[in-house]
Amino acid sequence: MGKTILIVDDSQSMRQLVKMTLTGAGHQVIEAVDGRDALSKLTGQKINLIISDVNMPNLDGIGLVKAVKANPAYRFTPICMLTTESEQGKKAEGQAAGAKAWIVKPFQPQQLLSAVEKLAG
Amino acid sequence: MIAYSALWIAIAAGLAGVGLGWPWMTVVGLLGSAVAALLLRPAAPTPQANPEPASAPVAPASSAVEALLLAVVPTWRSNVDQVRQVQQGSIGELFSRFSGMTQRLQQTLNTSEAVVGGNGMASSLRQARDQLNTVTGAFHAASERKAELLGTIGELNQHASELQHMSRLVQDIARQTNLLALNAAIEAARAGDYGRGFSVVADEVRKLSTLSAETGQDMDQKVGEINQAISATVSAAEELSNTEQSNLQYLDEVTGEVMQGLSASLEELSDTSLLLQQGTRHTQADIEEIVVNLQFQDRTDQMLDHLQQDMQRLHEAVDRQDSAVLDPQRWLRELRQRFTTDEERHGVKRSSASTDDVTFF
Repeated sequence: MGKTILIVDDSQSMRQLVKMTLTGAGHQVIEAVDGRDALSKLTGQKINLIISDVNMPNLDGIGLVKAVKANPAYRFTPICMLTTESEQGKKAEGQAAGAKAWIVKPFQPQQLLSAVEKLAG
Repeated sequence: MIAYSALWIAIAAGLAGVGLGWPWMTVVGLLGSAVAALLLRPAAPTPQANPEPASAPVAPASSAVEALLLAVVPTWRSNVDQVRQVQQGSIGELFSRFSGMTQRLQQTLNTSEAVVGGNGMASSLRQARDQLNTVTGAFHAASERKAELLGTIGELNQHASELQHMSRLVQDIARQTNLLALNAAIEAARAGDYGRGFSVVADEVRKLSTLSAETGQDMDQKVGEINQAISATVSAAEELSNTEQSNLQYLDEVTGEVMQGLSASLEELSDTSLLLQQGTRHTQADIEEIVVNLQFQDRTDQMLDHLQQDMQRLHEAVDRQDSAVLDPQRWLRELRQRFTTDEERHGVKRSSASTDDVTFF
């Protein structure tokens, strides 16, 4: 059964690619252009998974994870980081903030779908 | 003179970096420009034995370079921004097109699999062949039943012949009885009055024998007619049976040829469809790989973003006469802190996606 997934990325083309991959597998997608936009779109929505970039203007991915985990309504919503960042230090920072998975771009569509299945299935 | 050459080489390198999409070259070019500009600041006048007469006052070279940087850096930033926008739009369009292609290929694949798959045309043809075999089987069974019926009719003919023989026997018996009755009448006449009653009996017997002979003759005639009718029926039925056998043979031949042709076409269709499916899957895999590789745009966009930010920083530093431009190592350290890609950190292109790129916490 399809899940509702919030994708957060300041790159329009990346949002388009992720959306294409997820909707092709039967999921519904909500888009946000940065962390701040994502927090505004969370309100009142039933979200099964958040897929977020790390480096974004206004509020970055790590800041978004911390804000979501601090919100009682969404603290159990799994978050997967999808980023060009491959440094262990950044990964550890994401893990400490509460992210459940870290995918380094470029990604294979099947990798993303497997992660979605594992985190929101 | 060397400083002037270095300045223009650095500016050229910076522009070439933007043109070639090599952010590193652009950054190095910008930093080189800044350093060269500082070197070109006017030095304190040195005493000379024979000073030349004072010429017309010129603007200090450093001020000219600073003015140049303040003028061109915003243009460079604007150009880089345009490059980013063009890339975003083009790559987005490519993703959209590839998405459409992938969907259409999947539809082709589904249709092809449905045609030659479990419930497709192949299955329909197999069912048609089985049903055709059932129909021709029914025709053969009916033909065999007719042959049995002909055998039974042939037996009737034989029974009728026996009946004819029996009717002739009845006629013989009637003839002999008639003769006996005639003799009895003669004897009765000889006996005179005593034989009168017997004469009446002999006469009645003679009439009965005559009637029996006529009946036997009628029977013989009727049985003969029946025999002829049966023979004609058997003959017509045999003729029909021969025609039917010939038709059945023709039906078998035509059915066999049609099914053989259909099977050959089906096999060809299956082979072609399998090739089509194979080709479609390869194309899908190729598109998927292309889409993965197109994600380079996200990485270059981030690199260009960092470059834009550094141009802004340089612009502000030059504008403020900030001493940071005098320390290239510090400048680079601060620039590197903002790096997010392997290409920026290590100067190497990241390899394609692998399973190591997914980490679950």
